[in-house]
Order: sequence, then C-alpha cells, then structure tokens
Amino acid sequence: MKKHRFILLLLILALATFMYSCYYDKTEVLYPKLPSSNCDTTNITYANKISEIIATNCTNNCHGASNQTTGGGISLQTSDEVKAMIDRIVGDISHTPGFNNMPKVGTKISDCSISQIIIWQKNNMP
Amino acid sequence: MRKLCILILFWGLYTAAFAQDKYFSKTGHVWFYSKTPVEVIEAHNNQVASVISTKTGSLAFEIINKSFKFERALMEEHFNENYIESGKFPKSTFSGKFTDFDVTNFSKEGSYKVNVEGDLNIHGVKKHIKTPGTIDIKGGKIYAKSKFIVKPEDYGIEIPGLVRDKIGKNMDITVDIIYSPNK
Amino acid sequence: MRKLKIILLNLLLPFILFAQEDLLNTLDSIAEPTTNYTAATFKTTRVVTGHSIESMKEGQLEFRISHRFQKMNEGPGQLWGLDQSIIFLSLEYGVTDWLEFGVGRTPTEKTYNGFMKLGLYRQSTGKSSMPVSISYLGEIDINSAPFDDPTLNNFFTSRLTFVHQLLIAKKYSDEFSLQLTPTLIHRNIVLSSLDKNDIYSLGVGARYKFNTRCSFNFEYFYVYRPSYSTGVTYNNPVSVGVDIETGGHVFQIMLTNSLGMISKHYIADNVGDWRKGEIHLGFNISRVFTLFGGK
Repeated sequence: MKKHRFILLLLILALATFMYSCYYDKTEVLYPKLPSSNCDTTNITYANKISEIIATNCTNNCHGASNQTTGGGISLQTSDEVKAMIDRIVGDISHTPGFNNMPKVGTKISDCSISQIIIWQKNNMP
Repeated sequence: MRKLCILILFWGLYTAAFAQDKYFSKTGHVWFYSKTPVEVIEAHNNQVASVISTKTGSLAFEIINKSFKFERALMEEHFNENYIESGKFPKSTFSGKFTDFDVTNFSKEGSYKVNVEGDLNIHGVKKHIKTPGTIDIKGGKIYAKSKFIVKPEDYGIEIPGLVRDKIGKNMDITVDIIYSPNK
Repeated sequence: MRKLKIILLNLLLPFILFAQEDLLNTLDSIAEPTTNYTAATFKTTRVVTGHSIESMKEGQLEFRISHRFQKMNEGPGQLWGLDQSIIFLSLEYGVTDWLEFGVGRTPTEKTYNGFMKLGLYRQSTGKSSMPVSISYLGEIDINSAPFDDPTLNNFFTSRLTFVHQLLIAKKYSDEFSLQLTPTLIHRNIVLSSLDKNDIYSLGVGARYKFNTRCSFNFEYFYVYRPSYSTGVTYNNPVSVGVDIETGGHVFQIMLTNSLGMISKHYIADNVGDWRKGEIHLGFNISRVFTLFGGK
C-alpha cells in the first residue's frame, strides 16, 4: 500500500507540473521591436507605469468616473478594477482575434505600452 | 428383447464406469532450470492442465508457454519472443503412458516407481521420450512427480552465440502434479 | 451368440481408441479460461524516433543514446553528413509494470526533458479481451540555453514546452504491429501571433519483424499547422529504420528527414525535405538493466 501512495504522489506531482505555467506567449507581442529601444520593461508597477497608461488611454474617455455609459459600465479607475479585468484588457488592447479591439475610440495603444502591461501581468501585477 | 435390454444395461454400466476413471489437474507445477557460470535460468508454471486415465494407464499434459514465470521480466520477454516463440507455439504438450505399470494399483494407496513413455511436443518439434517418475496414491488423489532433461537444440530452439554461455545445453525439467478425480 | 460378441466388440472398440488419442483433447475442455495479454508489440520503447507503446517493467532501467548525423546532401566533403552529429541521452525507469518515468538531454536548445509513460489498457484475448493497447505519454521540455537578449524581462516559463501523446497500438501478428500517436505539443512562447502555441499532429508507426531479432520500422507524423509567420518551410517527419535486438541491447538504425529526437524538435520544428536529399542517418542504442528483481 505504501508503494501505491508513492506512485499516486508522483502522478499528482506530474499533473500539477503540467497545470502550472501554461502560457500562450508571443515574442513579438511580449518584446516588440521598436525603432528606438527606449521601452523600459523593468520594474513595472501599477503606481509607476500602469495607472498612467490606463489614465491616458482608457479612463479619460470611457472607463473613468463620469463617462462609464460609453464604457459599457466598466470602470478602470483603481488598481483592483484593472486587475480584475486584466485578461480581457490584454486581449482587447493587443487586438487579439476574439476580443473587442480597444481603445474603441482612437488608435491602438503603442506596442511599448501593451508590452509593459503584459509583463506587469506576468509578474503578478505589483 | 431381453438380450437387447441386457446389452444396453451393460453398455450403460460400461460407459458410466469409464467416465469415472479420469483424474485431472488444472494447477500442475512444471518448472525448468539451468545453471552456467554466467547465469541461472529458472521459470515456474503453476497452471499446467493434465489428465491421467486410470483405466488405460495413459496420461497427457498441456502447458501454456506464456504461463512460465521468470524472476526477471526481461528474461521472460526473451523466452517468449526469441526462444520458445510463444506467438507461433502457444503450447507445449506431452501425451503418453505408464509402461509396465499395473493399472489396478491406481485404486490402492501406496508409493510406486514408474516409467513414463510418450511424445513430448515443444516448439513444434515432437520427440519420443522415456523417463522414470514416482506416483503416490493417497486419499483418493494421485501425486505424480518426474524429473528429466531436455536439450533446447533438440526442439529447434536456437541459441545465438552471443548468449551461449548464459543458457545451459541441458534444461532440467521437473514435473510435480496432483490429480483429483473430479473435473 | 457370435453376433452378440461382434456387436459388443464393435461397441467397445471406439472406447479403446478414445483412451489413447483424445486424452490430450480432453484437456482443452477443462483448462480454465485465462486472459492472454499481448507482449512485445515493438522491440523497444521507441518506434523509430517517437515513443512506442512499450515501457520498462518494474525495476528495469533503460539507458539510451540516440544519434542523428547531418544531412546526406552535404556531400563527400562532410562524409555525407557523418562528420557531425547531435545526440540525445536518456534514462527511463519502470516504477511499476505500467508506469515509467524518464529524463533526457539533447544539445539542441540545450534541452532537458522529463517524461512519464502511463499504461492505460493492454491488448488481450481470452477471458477479457481488448483490441488495442493504449498508453499516455506526458513530457516537459526545458530549454536551458541563455536568452537571446538578457536585458529584456525574460521569463522562466518561456523555456517550457509541454507534450501530450496517446499511444494506441495493436499487434496484429507475431510479425506486424501498428501504432497511432495523436500528439499535442504546447510551446509556451512562439514568435508571432501567426504562430500557434499549440501544434497538433497524428503519428503512424509500424513494424514488420522479419526474424526473431530484427524488424523493419516505419514512422510518419502528419503535422497540423494552419498558420505560421517565418519564411521557413516546415515538413512532416518521415523515418524508416531497422531494429536489431541482441540479449539486453536493441540497436535501431534509421534514415529520417528529421534531425530532432524530442517531439518539439522532430515534429514541431522539423524542416528537413526528403526531396532535396535532406536525409539524416541515425541510430539509437538502448540497454536494459534490471535494477531490482521485480516479481
């Protein structure tokens, strides 16, 4: 019986290893090639980078305090609100097929900003 | 008419008596062994089916080759794949009789030395063999034991030069079967 | 009275004959129905490059060295590819008769890998019958080469590739066996949005045993790749080979258009083109050690 428990443990460990860390990354999206390489992807936090991107591109038009009817009732004013929607945000702003291209009004957010948001997400959104 | 009735009665009794004279075993033990300085080969089969007819003093046994169990799984695989080729020859059989043995002894308890003679069929090759053995009649059962030597090459079993030193030229075969009258 | 004796004798005759010849046949009727499990569907744990249904029995360890030489169309200057080769070293161990774990390493992308082969069903006839043997193979490959650009925020997860395979095999006869291998290869990172992280493929493997120790083997993987970004042309891997078994060793010699020896390399990344002569000579050598007696 002891042996069977050991085997079960091994199998669970194997399964867990598979479930953990399964990603669908694309190099082009994660590390966009920029004409001038001044896209800083180190030490990104909500405070020092992400809130700025969201403020410029999202909350001043549709997802802020006074205009959420245009934004489908979705607010992105606080870090918690952004974190809650992060998967949808990433899909939308990178214009991935199957998602709604965002911002709805205006041009696609810069590759550098998209990359920074994705990397912020992968680092567990500090 | 009366003669016919008596005839049928005798015939009925005869067949009834005949049916009782067979002793069977489904769990007979046959094993083989060889030892060389390099390797010991040993395999046991505990599912040998065998029958003795006490009326005629003849016997037969049937061995499913795949039921030989080795201690090392690799050895068992090679035995089945390369040597006995159990895919082509699933069974090894023996069919023969006890020579110079009084069949009335089967109903008397005791220990008897016997000689067995018959056809041994291994790997598709049939050979006539003669070997001594012992029979013990105890408590309504027959205990049969025998030990003899078989040469693999006599039965077309090829042993390549590479492994010549590991497999003996002679295999010691031991038969140890307990027979009961009911099927 | 004489007529009666003749009739009696005629009645007894069949019984006397019956005693001798049919004794062996009576055994067939009393033998217990048993289940006969198919063994040795393939000679070893690989068909040619891909995994076969075979796995190590309990207590057995297989050490394997796989070699693939370079392309034959490189001509006599490179000795038709023999001048260079890459290898794959691996160890597989049977924890039980139906579960084995393995580890390996290949220099392509400095990959280490670990895999598990779990036996689900065995082909059998008799009391309980099953037409095919089925096993599951799960593998994780870790690319341990240094990142191209260390200044970027590189992730450990980008080094990982996961492979899932179902090995479905049938031994049709002593000589012929067939295996189907549906495969899913998931690469955590790919080049662009056009590249798919998941690559699906269906493998077909077959072997024909022409004597007790040798067989011809064949393997082909159809790769489903609906879109990809680079200018590279990918090709489906095709391999033919010969297995030679001697005691505890199995040698596999092959010709293939794939240089890789793990699923990610020979299925997902394969670019070799048969028609251009991009054929590699290769061989695998495996040796089985019995570490623990087992039963």
